[in-house]
Amino acid sequence: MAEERHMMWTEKYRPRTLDEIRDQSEIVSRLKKFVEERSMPHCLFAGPPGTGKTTAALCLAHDLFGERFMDLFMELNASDERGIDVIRTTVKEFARAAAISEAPFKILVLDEADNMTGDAQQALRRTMERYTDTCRFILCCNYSSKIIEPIQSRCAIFRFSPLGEGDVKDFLGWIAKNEGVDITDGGLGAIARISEGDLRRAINLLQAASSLKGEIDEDSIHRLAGRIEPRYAKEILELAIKGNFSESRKRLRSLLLEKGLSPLDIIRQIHGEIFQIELQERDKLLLAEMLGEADFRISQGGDPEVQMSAFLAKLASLSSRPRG
Amino acid sequence: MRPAEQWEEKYRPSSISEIVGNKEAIGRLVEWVRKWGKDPKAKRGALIYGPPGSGKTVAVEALARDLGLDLIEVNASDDRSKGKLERMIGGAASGMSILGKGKILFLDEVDGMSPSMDSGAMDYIDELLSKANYPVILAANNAWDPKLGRIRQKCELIEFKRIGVREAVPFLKRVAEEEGIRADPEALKLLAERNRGDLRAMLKDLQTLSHPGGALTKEDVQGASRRDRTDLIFNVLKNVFSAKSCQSAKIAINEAEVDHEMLFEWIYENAPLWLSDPGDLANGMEALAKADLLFNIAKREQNWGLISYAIDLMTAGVAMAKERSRAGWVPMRFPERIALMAKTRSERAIRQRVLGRIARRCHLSRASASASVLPYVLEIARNDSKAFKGLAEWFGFDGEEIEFLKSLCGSPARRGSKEA
Repeated sequence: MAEERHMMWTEKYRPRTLDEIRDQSEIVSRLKKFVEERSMPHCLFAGPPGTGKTTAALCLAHDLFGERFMDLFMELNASDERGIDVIRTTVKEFARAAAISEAPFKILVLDEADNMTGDAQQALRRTMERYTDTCRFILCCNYSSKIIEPIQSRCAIFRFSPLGEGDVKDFLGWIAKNEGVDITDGGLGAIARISEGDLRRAINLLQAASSLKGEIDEDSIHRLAGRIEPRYAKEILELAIKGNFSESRKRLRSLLLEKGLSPLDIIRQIHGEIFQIELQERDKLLLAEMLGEADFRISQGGDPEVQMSAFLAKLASLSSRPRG
Repeated sequence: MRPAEQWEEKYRPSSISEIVGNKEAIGRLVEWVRKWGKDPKAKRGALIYGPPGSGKTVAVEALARDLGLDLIEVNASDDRSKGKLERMIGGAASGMSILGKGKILFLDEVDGMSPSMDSGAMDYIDELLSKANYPVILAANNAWDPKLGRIRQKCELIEFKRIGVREAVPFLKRVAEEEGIRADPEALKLLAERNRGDLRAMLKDLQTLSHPGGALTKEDVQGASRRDRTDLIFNVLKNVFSAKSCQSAKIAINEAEVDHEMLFEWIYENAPLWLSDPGDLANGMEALAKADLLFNIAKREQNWGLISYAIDLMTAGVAMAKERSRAGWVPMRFPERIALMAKTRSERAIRQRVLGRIARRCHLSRASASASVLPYVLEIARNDSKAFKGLAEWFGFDGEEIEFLKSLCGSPARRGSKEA
């Protein structure tokens, strides 16, 4: 089994059949029923990242259609291919051609569907209705609330929950053994804790750790995680709090343009920090409101740097006021 | 010393065939004039627009000469109140030419009119477009200027583009030869590039930088400052930031020879320098953020009416934010963001390619690939070059992509110790 070929372990150890999925047992048993009946409704898979939504969709298609399921299966990522045009063309073309062979229908997986615009979702809804005989849709999303009501009501909803720390640790231990990674029990526990139920993150951390020399323990995992996932937001916030708006904006600019970080990731990181800033409580609330506004405006087409800068300037002005 | 003749006058084209660049736009304009009055569905006026020095005015002048038409011209240096306009062109618009020749009515720089100075002028132009017995041509830098809203509808829109380097250089070469200047082709190319399609400015630079019988090298051009243009924008910025009323802040940008987007970048870059008080700055940045959103929505929805509010926020919004900030002169700087965008453009393209490959392999979007896979791959690259090589093969990265990823692996200080 120990092939020398390098690949990402998330792919190497991604389950291929529903039987191989070790968790989300309630969901898996419902999906297995679809396979037995050779029939399924449109589905909505909702849950945090790394909980197995895409995997479940792939496994379901495999179990329904067998090894050559790729002919009957299409995977699109709404974040890259969002917008109404894709729905009108790609999705429709795939959906409307009847399934070949004895398969009763085809499956189209739309990943990160909550990143679709409202218009695109409306268009999708009509396509789903129109081609429901030939094609079943599986929409994956982090937040089902971002999917419009008419689509939700046409789907069977499956809620994926974050994996327990113990389950993550067990699975990591198995991979580590298989790959011959020299890691302590404390190291495995640290990865499980840091990854907060996100199995992709956990496995990626383990793989990155395996590139270190020598035995890997809890400490080395923490140092590793700090290198891989630096707290960018903190630095930007601290500069603004010190009243140095220009430097803060410059850092932000470099993260966006030079490091290529996604604006939404930076906003999410900032959001995680704002209630910890030393400010009056009502000012913190004001900041949350401003940040929400920035997030909203970016979604409406605003420039990420300009919108976040308005937030940073507000933070700088609140921090400069005498406290008391 | 007697002032030398300006080359922009000396080499002003006397016929359409001598005009550099914008062949297609000029062709359309000629066509429009020829057909004027014959096709009832055709627009009554023509609005030619484009950046300074792209040849709008000379095109109209040459066209009148080539077609043998009288040119009745009004430009920004004239007082253009409604009454004056009526006096200057009113008779011409309705009456017949003394010599029995046809006419063209030409209103240059119509976006340069300030609302208070040229009161009623827009109404008059509007009326003129409906009633004039002759073709009316308007020229502007920015066709989307909100002031031109009504007028724009009645006009055939013809865009004049910046003069390309490849078109400009042969012309500059001819002028240099005529003037006995030994000009290095590279110098002319640089000169053309630096003036970003403004042929008038290129001629001006060529004249100031060289002397008859002398040589013009690339170093001469490099050494010359871009003072004129930058001075102009500094002035505009100063007027915006120190405006005491909304109206004066808004009018201040009429002088700027750059488009709204560029102007926004200048204001956005320099606002923190002018608004030294943190509270003022917060208000100013909020106004800019709102302006940005409106600009972007206007562009996306093609709803140009929104631009006028964006301009209000970008100018008056910033000017009125200044309440407690220090007064006085402030140094200004070129928008760093523009430079950084240009510098990082190719890297960002490679990055997108890399993320695309990761996304396909790992069933993710590019955004998720960037957040939840790439940093781990980079860490592996830092620690274990053999494993990285294997992964690169699996992802299908090409040589350029691999080099790019290596360059992302930490600071240069760490790079040396990688194999330790």
